[in-house]
Amino acid sequence: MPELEFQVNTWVSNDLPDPQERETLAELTISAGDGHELVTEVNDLLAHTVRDYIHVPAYLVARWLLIQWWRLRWEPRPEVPTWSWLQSHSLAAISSDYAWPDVTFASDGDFIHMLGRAEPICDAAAVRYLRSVDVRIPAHVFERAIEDFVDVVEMRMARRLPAERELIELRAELRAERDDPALARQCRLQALAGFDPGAADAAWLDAAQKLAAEAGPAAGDEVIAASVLLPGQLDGAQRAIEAMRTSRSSVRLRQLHVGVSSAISGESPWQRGQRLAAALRSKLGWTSGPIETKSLESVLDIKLPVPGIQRERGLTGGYRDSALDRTSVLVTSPRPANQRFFFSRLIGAALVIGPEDRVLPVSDVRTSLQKFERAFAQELLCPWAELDAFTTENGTDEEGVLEAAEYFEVSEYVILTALVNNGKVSRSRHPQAA
Amino acid sequence: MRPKAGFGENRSPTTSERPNDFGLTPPTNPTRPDKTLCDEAGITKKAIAQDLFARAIEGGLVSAAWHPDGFPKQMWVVDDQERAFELMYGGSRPGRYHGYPLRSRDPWSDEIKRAWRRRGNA
Repeated sequence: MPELEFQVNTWVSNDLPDPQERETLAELTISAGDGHELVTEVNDLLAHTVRDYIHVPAYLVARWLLIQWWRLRWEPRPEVPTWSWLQSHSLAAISSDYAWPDVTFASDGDFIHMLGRAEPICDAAAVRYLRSVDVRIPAHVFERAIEDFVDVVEMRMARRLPAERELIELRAELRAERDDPALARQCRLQALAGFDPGAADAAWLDAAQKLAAEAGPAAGDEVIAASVLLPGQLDGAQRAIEAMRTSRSSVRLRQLHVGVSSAISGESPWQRGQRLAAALRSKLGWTSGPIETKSLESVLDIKLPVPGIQRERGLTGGYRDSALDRTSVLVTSPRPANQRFFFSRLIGAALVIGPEDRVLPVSDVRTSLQKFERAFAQELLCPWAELDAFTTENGTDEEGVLEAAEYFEVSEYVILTALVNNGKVSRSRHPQAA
Repeated sequence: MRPKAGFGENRSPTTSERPNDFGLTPPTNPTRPDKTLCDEAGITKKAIAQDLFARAIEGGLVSAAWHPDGFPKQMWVVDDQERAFELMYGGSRPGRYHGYPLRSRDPWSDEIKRAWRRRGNA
C-alpha cells in the first residue's frame, strides 16, 4: 500500500440536490504513513458504529486538490498559519457544509507533512474523528496519490455526468503548467510565496525570477520562500542579499568536505543534517565535547563574534564570491551563541548547495534545506548522544537546560529543541509551543 | 431585505438529525452524507433557526455576490455560543435560504467570527 491514499471504497446512492455531489458521494478512506493510519476513522454517533471512511462527495476533494496543487506541493508552513494558508492547505477548508477532517498538508520541498488531530468531542457533526496523524510523505508519493484519486473521480464523472467539464479542465491546466518548465517555475515561485498560480502580477513574477536567478538554482527557491517573512517581501529579500554581498565580514568555506555522500535517497532533512555533522566532526577531529569557538574560527578563517548588523531577520546567510574563495556573511545577532549556531548552519549549507548558487540562505522558513541546516548545526555543536548524557546527569529542568546551553555554548532554545525532538522532554516546554 | 427573505427548508434534510422538526421529510436512503449537523450545533427546532436567521439579517454580514433575485448569495451569523453559521441562498421560492453550522476547525469559521465582531455584532 502506498504511504498516502485517497481510496473510494464504493459510490453511495443518495438524493443530494447538487449533481456533482450526488454522483460522487463516496465511502472515502484516507490513509497515510508507513503504518497506513486511517485518517478518516470516525465514530458515527447516529449509527453507533466506528467506520474507517466518511461519506463525502469525492468531486469536492478532487477539485480542491487540483486547485490547491501548487501550494500543497511547494508552500511551507508558516510559524502561525494564516487564513490564506489554511484555505489552501487544510482539508477542513474544502467546503463548509461537510464534516471534513482537520488535516493540513505542509511542504518542505522534499516531503509533505500531514498533520491531523482527533476530535475529543463532536464538532457540529454526527461523526467524530478518532485518529490523530503526524506523518511525512515523500513529495512524489503525494503527487501520485492525487493523480490516482483524480483518475477515479474523473472516470466516475465521465460515466455519470459526461457534459461536466470542470475537473477535466482543471486537470488539463495543471498538466500544462507542470509540463512547461518556464510555467512550472513561475507556478512554483508563486506557491513558495503563498500565491495561487496566476495570482501574482507580471511585475512580481519578473522581480521574483530575477532574484531567484541571482541567488542560484537551489537558493532561489529558499529566498522566495523567505521573502514572505520580510517587510517589503521581495524588496526585503533583495535588500538582504545586497547586505550579504556587501558585508565586510567573510568566511572561508571552500575547503570543507565531509567525504560522504551529501544526499541519500529517502533520507529526511534532519537525518541528513545529523549524518553530515557527525561526518564533519570526525573529519576535523572534533571527536567529542563542545567545539571551541577558536576551532570554528580556525576552520572559517574569521574572528568571532563578528559585529551584528541591526536589520530585519528572516533571511540571512552568505554570498559567495565568483571564485568561491570567500563568502561574505550577513549576521544579525551579536550574541556569541547565536553566531556559533548561524555559522554552523552556514557550514551545513555550503556542504550541500552546489557551486552554481551564489547565496547560502539561512532563514526561518520550514523548507527542507533550512530543516537540514538546523539539524546539522545542532548535531555539530551539541551531538545528541553527548547532550543526552549531559542532561541525564544534570537534569532537563530549567537549570539543567541552562547548564547544557553554557556547556555546549549554544542557546537554551537549541537545547530545548533537541530535547523535544528526541522525546526527552514534553513539547509543551518548547517556546514555540506557547 | 427582511420582509422578502425567509428561512426555508434545508435543501436536504440530511443536515438535521430530526428533519421532521423543520417540516422536512426524513431521507429514505439510510446512508447519510457526513454533513455538518444543525442539531449538534444547538439548532434543534425551527424557531431557533428562524431566530438565527433574523439575527443574520440584522447583522448584515453578507457576500459580495448577489443573486439576480436581489438577495445576497450567502449570509453569515454567529450565535451566543460563538458558533458561526453559513446561510446559502436557494430554496423552493425566491428569498429562501438554508443554513448549516461551520465546524470550529474550518478556517472560514474564524474569519466569519472576526468579521462579525468587526461589525459590532458581538
